[in-house]
Amino acid sequence: VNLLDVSSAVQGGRAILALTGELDLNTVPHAETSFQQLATESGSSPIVLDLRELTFMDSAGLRFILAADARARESNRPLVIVRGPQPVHRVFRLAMLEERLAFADSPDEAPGPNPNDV
Amino acid sequence: MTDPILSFEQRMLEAERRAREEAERAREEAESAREEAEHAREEAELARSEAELARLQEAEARARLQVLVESGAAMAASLEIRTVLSAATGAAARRICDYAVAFLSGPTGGFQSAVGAHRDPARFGAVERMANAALPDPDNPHSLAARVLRTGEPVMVQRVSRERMERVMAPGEQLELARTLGFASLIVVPLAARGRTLGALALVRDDASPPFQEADLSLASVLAARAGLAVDNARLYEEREYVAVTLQRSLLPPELPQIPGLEIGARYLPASEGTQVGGDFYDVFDTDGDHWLAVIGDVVGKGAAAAAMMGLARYTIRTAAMSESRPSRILETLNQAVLRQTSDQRFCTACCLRILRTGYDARVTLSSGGHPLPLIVHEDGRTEVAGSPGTIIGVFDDPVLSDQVVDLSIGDALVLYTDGVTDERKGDDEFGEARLHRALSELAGASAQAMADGVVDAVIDFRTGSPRDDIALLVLKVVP
Repeated sequence: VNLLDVSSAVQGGRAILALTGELDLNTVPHAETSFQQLATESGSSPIVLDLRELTFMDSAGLRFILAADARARESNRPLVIVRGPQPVHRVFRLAMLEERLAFADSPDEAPGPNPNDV
Repeated sequence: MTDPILSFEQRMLEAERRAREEAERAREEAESAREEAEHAREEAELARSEAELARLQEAEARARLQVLVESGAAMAASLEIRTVLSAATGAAARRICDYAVAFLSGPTGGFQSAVGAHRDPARFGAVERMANAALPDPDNPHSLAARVLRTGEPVMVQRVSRERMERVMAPGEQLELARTLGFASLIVVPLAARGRTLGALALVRDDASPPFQEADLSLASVLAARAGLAVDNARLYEEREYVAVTLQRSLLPPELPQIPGLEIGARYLPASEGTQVGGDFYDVFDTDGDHWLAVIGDVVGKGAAAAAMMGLARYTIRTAAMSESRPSRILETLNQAVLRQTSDQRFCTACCLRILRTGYDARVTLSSGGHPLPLIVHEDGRTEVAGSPGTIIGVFDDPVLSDQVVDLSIGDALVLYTDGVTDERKGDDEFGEARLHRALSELAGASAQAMADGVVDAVIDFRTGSPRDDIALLVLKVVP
């Protein structure tokens, strides 16, 4: 049984990684591989992590998101997290990360592509 | 002028000579043809026997391959020594002999255990009983298993005499079983790996089977060599598991201190009994005689890196508590220490609290760095969350960490826990905070240890499937 499905796409100038299922110690490697690939293939487009279909996230999942955010910062790419359901979002709240990471309610709220790249 | 008579005689002689020569040539030709025919026959014979040999070798090679294929995967996949030996003896009993016993040597020399298998599954038990009735005596000069353990050289006894059997088997059950099972032909090969002999594999044929041949000995040796490696791997794995468990224990306090007027209960439940060191830790210690410090924390991930951070966290907190009294300052020190140590977003969460037990109550100052907030359980069953959230430890150089003060009355308990408690699942449902509050409410009035145990029991009752994460609980209860 695959507990995490990852789909990645570049849409409207945004690189979107959508996670479905459970993001934990066991499934993080799967998410990491997909993220690396998407980040490499999508140039300097803004990155969107869509957590709306995530049912569970633990601290290993949080670490993956922090690492993704750090990587995006290094290359000056905006990274936006589309909020997951309450049990998932609670992990960010408990870690006091609501102020430190960029959240949105849908992928459309994420910043568009950098006009210089178009 | 030639003499006609002489010349006639000469011609006769000549003709005779020629006839002789011709006869000789014909004879030679016939001989050589015969030789050639013979040669051809020999060659045909040789070719036939070569073909036969090749066929036999192929059959043997197939059997050899088969025994290795059958046992190899099972042995390689197993990290338990007994399972490896079951696979090896099982393969031997199916393909080479009637029954097989693997003897494992102990740390002090000699043998410490035996695993057996029989071609006929109904006789497995008899083989095991025979083997374990008395393990080979390393000092018995007649014991081939002892000799193989000593020399590391394989041995074969094509026909085992009755006297030999009686000299090797312990009188009573073992000898009786050996007689019942049959003990006619014997091979003993070393189980060795990386230059060490770890034991011996004995293969036995009963009186109804033909005696062992050289080919059986070489096949048994190959099988034993593979088994030896697998046993060695399993042994290394068991050692590593031991190290991991020991390390884990070393990171938890061996026993919690006795504090006047404060009862302490704790539970730690690793997700798996295995090589992976979990990431939960807790500690309770005395800072200056009046004040006590309690901490619970959780490091992301498992294994050596998580254990190293757990060690760092525990000792940094103990050290910081000698000069800092505010829990938020202690956590800031920990944050700096973790930031210096790692750069890969590996973080931990921790809840740190300082307790002053006065005559009539307990004053608790607490700070959380990304950790689930502790719960207060009043004696009447009311529960509430204590403190306010703070930033996770080890990622940012400007964490938001604050101190909250709560006063606890006699009978109140403070429950610190890791997210393994609330994250535990039943299908898509998680144990969650609401169930934790309910469980604690029902446990109000119980002792600190009974509360910790009660929560763990409730979580175990709730969950389906294997545990998801480590669980740690620390309960502090104010008592008269």
